[in-house]
Amino acid sequence: MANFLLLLHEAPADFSGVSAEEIQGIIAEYSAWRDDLIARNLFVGGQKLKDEGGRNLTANKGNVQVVDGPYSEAKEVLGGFFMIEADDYDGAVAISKECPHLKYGGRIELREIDAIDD
Amino acid sequence: MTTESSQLVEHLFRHRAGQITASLVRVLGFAQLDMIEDVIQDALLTALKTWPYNGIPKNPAAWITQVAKNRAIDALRRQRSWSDKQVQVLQHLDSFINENKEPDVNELTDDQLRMIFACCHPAINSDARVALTLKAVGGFSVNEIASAFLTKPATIAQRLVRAKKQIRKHQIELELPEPEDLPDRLESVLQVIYLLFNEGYSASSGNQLIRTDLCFEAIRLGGCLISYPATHPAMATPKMHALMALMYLQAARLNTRVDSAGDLILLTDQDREAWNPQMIQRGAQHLRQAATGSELSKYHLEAEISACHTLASNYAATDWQRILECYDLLYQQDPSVVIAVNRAVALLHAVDAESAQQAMDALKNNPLIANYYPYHVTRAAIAEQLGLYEQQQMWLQQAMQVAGNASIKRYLIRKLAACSATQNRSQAKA
Repeated sequence: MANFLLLLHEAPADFSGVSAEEIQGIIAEYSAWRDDLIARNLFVGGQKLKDEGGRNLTANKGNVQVVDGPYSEAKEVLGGFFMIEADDYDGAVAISKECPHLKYGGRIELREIDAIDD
Repeated sequence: MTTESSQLVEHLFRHRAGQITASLVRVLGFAQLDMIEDVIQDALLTALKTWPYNGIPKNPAAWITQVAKNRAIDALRRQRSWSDKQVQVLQHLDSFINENKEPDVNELTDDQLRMIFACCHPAINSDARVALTLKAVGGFSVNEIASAFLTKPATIAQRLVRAKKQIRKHQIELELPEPEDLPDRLESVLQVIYLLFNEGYSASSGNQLIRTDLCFEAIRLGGCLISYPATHPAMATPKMHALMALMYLQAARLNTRVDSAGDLILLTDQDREAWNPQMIQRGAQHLRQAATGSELSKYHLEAEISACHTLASNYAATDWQRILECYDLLYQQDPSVVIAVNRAVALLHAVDAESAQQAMDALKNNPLIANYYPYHVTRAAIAEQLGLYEQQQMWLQQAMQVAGNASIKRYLIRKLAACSATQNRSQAKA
């Protein structure tokens, strides 16, 4: 078993016209996906990132530059992440395929966490 | 991270949105309705963004209320002439988020009841009242309302903007009408609920799910109104009972009107075993309670007609004579094309095809029949009874041109095919 990170990228979306009923439906889908993983002991955790661009730091000839990350002008932002357990990429992909994030216009970047053997 | 899973009660978001709307309008006034709608939508979207990661909170309804309340306070403070007092009142809106006094999300609150009456105020355009009630009380979105009414979202949005202007102009407040105004307002409320139900029930198309939702919302609103303790028994009029009876008796059949492919199933072919017995029972109960007083309103008559259909043990046992009597009385009250056509159907079954034909001939020159496909479908049915298959075909083709709905069209195509087959058979015999 290994841990995998699901990085949830998304394009800015206009949800202003979405109804209360539809919003509830989407949440129910996420909840079902998450609950299923929890029941199978495969859900390690998840966090939502704040809705802003963060900071980008680069070292330039010894000086560290700090720049605001793009947000409102960005085509795509990292919205949050999940960490799950799976046997291998096949297993992790199977889980990720069911994540509602894909259905609602997002992209999932899936990375295996490198388990360093002692 | 929460490891508890919690289910969201059906329509929780929609119902809660309605409750919070009324509560905030009560505290801040109708002038703030736009801001109130925005903060509620904002709270729901915040839930959408965060609950997938953090799980559903233990008390989702209270969570939404708290966030909406906080956003409202922020919005209020950003307004040019915000008042400290308003903020204080908002901050102390304890009774609303106090877990002990948490209102059942399916029940209408006091404030929502007052909201219904406000939305049905005579100063508001009658076509806006239903939209406003659905939005402000029901928690439906502009798109949902537009899809249900087969209009564009922009049209609904405009109606709502105008309605809100009228509210401000006439300084409508969230109060129950004065006793002397109550009967008229109740009449308006009845009309709105009836329209709401009718929109949901009518077979003319669109999003099936939304339309069923509308029927049940109408029943919910009516049911809460009629049993509301604070104003009981003022709202429990015979007319109100008649409307409840009509809605329950019609809704009992909802699940059998359309098959899994979305095609129409006619009354003759519906599986009566599958009709909802609890609804039929409630309908019959309300019908009994409607049978007091001296008024025979259109709601009474329509409920009686529905009862004739729904309470018949099978199609053959339908009391068409009684149905015809009801349509005769309805027509006196409302000589509309819709009633006339329905009456002709009753004539067809209670008397004979010739009488039905005569009744329809009287409508020949009425411009409103042009876009009313039941007129053409009924003409076709009469022609079929009279053995006039070529005429039947012509009427069915006309109906096809007029009908807007895909499942109605499919029904007409099947009917046309059957008509052709009958024609071929009778020609073969000749």
